[in-house]
Amino acid sequence: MRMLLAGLWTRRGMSAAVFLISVIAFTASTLGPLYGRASAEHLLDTRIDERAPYTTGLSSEVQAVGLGDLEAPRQGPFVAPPVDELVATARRAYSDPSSRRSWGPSTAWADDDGGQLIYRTLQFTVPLYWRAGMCDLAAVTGTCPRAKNEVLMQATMADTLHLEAGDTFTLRYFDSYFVPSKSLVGRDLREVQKRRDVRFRLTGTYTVPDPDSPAWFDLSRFTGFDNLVPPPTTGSGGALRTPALLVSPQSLVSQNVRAGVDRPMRTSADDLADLSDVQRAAAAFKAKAIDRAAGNDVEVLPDLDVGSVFAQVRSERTQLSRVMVAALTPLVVLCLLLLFALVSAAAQVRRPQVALAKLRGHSRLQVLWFAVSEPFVVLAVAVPVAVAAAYVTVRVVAHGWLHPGIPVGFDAFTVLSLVVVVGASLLASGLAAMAVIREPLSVALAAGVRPRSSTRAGLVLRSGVVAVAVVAVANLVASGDQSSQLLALLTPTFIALAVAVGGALLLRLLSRGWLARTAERGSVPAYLASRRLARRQDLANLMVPLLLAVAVLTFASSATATSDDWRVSRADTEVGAARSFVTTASPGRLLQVTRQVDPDGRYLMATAVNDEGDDMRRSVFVDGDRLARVAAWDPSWSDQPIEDLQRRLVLDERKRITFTGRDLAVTVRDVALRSATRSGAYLQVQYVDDAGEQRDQLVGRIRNGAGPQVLRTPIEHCRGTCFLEQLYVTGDAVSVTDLEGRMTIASAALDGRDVDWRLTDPGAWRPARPFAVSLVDPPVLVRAGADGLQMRVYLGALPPGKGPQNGAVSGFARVTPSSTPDVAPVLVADGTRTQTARRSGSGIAIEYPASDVVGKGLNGQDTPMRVVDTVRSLPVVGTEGELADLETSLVEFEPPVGALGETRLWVAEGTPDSVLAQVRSKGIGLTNGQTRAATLHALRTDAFSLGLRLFLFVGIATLLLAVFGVLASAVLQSRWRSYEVASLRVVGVSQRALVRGSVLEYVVLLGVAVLLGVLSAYLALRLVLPSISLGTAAEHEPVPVYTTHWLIVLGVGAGLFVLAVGIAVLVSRRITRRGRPSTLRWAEQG
Amino acid sequence: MNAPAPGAVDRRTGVAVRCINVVQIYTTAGGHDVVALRGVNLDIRPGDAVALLGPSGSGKSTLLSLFGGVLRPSAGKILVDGQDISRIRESELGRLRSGKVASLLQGAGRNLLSYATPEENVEFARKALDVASRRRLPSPHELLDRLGMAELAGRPMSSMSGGERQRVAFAAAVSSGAGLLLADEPTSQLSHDDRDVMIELIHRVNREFGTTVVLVTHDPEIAAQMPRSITIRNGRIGSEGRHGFDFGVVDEDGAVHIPDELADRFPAGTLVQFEQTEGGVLLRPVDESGS
Repeated sequence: MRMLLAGLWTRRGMSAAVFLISVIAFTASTLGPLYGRASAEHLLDTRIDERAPYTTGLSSEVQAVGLGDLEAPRQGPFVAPPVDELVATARRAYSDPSSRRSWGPSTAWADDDGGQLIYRTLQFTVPLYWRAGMCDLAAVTGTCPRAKNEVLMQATMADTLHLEAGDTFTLRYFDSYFVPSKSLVGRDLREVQKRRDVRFRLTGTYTVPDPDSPAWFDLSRFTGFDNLVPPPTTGSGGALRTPALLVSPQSLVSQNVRAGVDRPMRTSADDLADLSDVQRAAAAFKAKAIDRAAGNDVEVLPDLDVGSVFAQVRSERTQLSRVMVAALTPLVVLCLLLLFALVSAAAQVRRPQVALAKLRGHSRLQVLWFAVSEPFVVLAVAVPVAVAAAYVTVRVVAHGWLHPGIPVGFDAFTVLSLVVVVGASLLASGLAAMAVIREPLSVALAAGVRPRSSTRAGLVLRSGVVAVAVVAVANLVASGDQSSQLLALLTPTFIALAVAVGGALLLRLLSRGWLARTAERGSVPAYLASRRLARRQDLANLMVPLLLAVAVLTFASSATATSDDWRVSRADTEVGAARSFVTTASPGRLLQVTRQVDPDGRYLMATAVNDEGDDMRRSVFVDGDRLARVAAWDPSWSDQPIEDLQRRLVLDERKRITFTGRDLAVTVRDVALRSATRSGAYLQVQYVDDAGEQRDQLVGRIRNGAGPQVLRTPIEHCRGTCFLEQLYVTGDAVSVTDLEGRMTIASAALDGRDVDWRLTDPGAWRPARPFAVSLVDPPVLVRAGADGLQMRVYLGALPPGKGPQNGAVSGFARVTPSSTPDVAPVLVADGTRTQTARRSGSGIAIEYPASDVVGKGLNGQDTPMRVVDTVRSLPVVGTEGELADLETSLVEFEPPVGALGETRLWVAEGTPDSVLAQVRSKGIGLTNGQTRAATLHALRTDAFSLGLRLFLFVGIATLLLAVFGVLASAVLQSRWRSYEVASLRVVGVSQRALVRGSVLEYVVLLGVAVLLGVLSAYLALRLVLPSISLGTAAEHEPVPVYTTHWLIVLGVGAGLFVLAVGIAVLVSRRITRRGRPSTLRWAEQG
Repeated sequence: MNAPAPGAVDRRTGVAVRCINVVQIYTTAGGHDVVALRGVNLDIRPGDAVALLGPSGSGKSTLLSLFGGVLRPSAGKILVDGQDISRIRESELGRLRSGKVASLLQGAGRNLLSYATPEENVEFARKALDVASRRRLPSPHELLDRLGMAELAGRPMSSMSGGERQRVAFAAAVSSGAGLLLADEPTSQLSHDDRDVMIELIHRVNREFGTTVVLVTHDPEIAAQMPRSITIRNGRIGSEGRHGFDFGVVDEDGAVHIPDELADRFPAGTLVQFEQTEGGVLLRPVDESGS
């Protein structure tokens, strides 16, 4: 052992190099699986956290009343049992102890639908809710309710209702029960409803600081109208549900009480090894709960999505594993190559000692052990060091990148990976030493160093490398994205190795030509460089590490950039802006408020999203003036700048007709309208008031007659600027009318002053969309003249035309100022299946060019749209749907309340909180806030991104290793090269020429390596990257854009070329310094 | 086998070496064939101490390599201790080298592990022997002591002079108790004193252990100190010196080498006439006419 250690110390440089490389290889082989496992644990926690708690948690609930209870004849309404009894029943579902590990402690809750609250003209359903510990979860102002009929009210709701702590209010309940009755068929049951008014006292108000906290478990139980915001103060009303009142359990006494017990999933309790057990426990719980429910009127139906979450995690883990294997393979391959080279070099140095062992009659096994014992001992020592390094590295990375507390542990795969790489290293070392071991003794004892020549085995290996690369690429090209992902991820390495093989051959050929030229007329440095490159085939081996590293690093950098660009695009698509909120306002109201609060359009943009239709196609309507400044727009979506697109989308406000006043008078004349049903004719006006709300106002009844008729009506909310949207004629009933004829709108006046509504301007007015169906011929024709705007009305029939006509009976004859384009300009995503509008209209009143398409209006109806541009993706819409200007769409297509999907407020980056506070102060609730940054962060920590980070990290490590390998190889070769240099100096070659020659040689060698490495990476990016799944996109999300990041590719190449030049200079100086005439004397002396 | 007489060398420990018509041809890097040995016949008895003398390229080192099994003859046979080593397997050669044949290469460094101590080098040299054989031999320290190198036993090689290293190399070579010692230029690059010490060690091994010694040298003075010296020229045995006297050697073809000191009288191409005399044969040069 002492001798062994002494030998290692004697060759401590080589020993250290072997140690370093083997530590890197072993660390990589251990780190990969450790990181993969930790990342998978992180993904598991993330995916569980992303889901609503009730989809992964255990929850049982019990209804107080079943159908049987109601139908049992009784004299009075059913009285619910106390909440405690219901909770106890619900708790019995948790008798299985296996559920305790993965799910947290249980929390009881109870609620009922509550009663009706009348507030002004509106009626609201006010639910009641109790949750154990609720006053600790909510931010309470006042006291927690303890006695019966004490309540906490949501803070903004209390403000809206002008209620304070101590005030009382009444909720009206209607209890149903059945009593026996006699009927024609015999004895029957008759439903009786009994009204019950309950008085409640307010003990304080509450807000919910963190609605996403799993402690609330299922927010929908008590959040009511759009999550914790107060009901609107205007609108059409209806049965709207407010946020719940928080009560004590004894306040829940209605028939609709239900109670339950919740247990959210504990992410920290489970790790990947437990998934199957957890799934089984969840399934068992669900089955038992359903069993318990059978035969009773008790409902116990947990909504468990555990299997889906775990399936997703397993899929992501597989994806992550593939990326990791692909990332670590080139590093490990490089380590093995370098290890082989270093051990071979060490074996060459020890040739005389191995020969001595043979000379002393050692057996083959003894000679073998003597030759490999030193590298094997180094490898053995490297194992624990590498394992420790990998563990510490993953701990640090987990702390920085992953969820806190993620465990880092060894599993069978980690051990197997390490064993495989250690085995490969031992094999590589053994093979490297074999050349010396098998060498004949006579050759070994001969003086001098023999450079290794190319062997048949090397030729087979090189041919194999090229063949594998060709097959891999061919498979990818043929299979596309159906090919094996692991193969796709490994193919860049195969390509790099194949290019290295070809590059070495090419270099040799080019060097020979270069040598021929420089031998005749070249400079001495060029001649020396070309001569060495042409004659020393083993020099080309120096190319391989650097080429491989350059290829891997360039590919990884560019792939990471492509992947990140895609994720940015997805985040932009998903959120739409830096921040996005769902609001409670109507589109018009939101538009008005955003323009008031942010008149410059720097921060806020009103949007409306429509999901109408079976094809899941979306339409988004935005305040077009602010699109470029507020929306998250990815440059890859369109070749046109967003500012240009914006200009083509929006209304020209200057052209809109505005007015101000309180009393409207419209003069009509030459009225000749007839109706077979004797329906009356009425003129109505539609306008947007100064609060941004759209209003429809009856102006007056129109009577037949040639003379002027003045129709008057008060106008609300037009003390500021109002926008005129439409004038329309209808009958007694909206949906049934058969008015036909003509009339002229002569003039309009507000507060006694004439207003210019452009009634005499030709082209200033046009027929508007019929309400119900937008693509049919409108039932009105207009013509502006000196007398005013003449309307020909065809309600109940169709306007005359050649046909075939696409028409339908309509109840309105609408006209609108031409400042609103009759065909809305729209951006269309390229995944949208569009239908040309021309087929829909008959061209009688409205001619649609072939380029116009059928889109969805704001009210979800089909409407012609003019395609401004086709883009790859749109905010919120994604790859299928349209984007149009909101204001334009509101003019004709304002939906009824509740008909639209949702309105959202998009907020630009850097918007002060005070701006949002102003929006809220105008009564607009903002909920379900999303941020682009959070979405992007989630996307950047998904499986593929986590894997790509490792890929990049490994790429850098591979480069460092390659540089080290080049330096080490150069140092190993420096001995015999110094003899050569010394010989040349003896015959008179100057030191300067020698240095230049050596620098030129290495620059050419390493420069070719860098160039070919970049080329290899480029080939991989073009051929391979499109076949690699960069992640799992949701439906409608944009697909990756595979462009070559030239800046990265060329930047990496240029940087590494500079590095190569630096290495060349460093190595050349060392060689030349050692190559003195005294070196020859020393070599002679052995 | 009878025990030797008192005072006589126990030739039972020595190994005999015999060459029968050995020819050795090798191919140069340029692809040319070179005949290094041209039918060498030689008998070395157990316990002999023989010097192979000759100029560079005469074939003496080649012959030594053939004795050690490092090279295999192109033709002919080489018998070491009665065993034809020219056709045996490499593993058998290895066994031969471990127990019977010891080699001392030219240059001390080539015979030693530079990072090991003299004791460790001796242990290394014996590694191929089985445990029983090793037990029969003196310990490394005892061996070094017997050879007068006890003080060097634990010292690092880097601290030794050239002569000391050569002595340690010698000790390592003979440590296995081999019956045949093949030494290539054992005194090269040594000072006079170290040379004398080296020769003395060789003689001791030959005298005390009966080891057959074959050493290669280009120095006639060294050769003269061996009881027997064989001069090799152009791949053939030219002459042999024994106990201070030089003798020509008649080879298989009947050729005899003219001694160097008489070479001027018989330049190449000279016609000679043989006359048998009472004591031998008279060699007389004649001119082209025959007179």
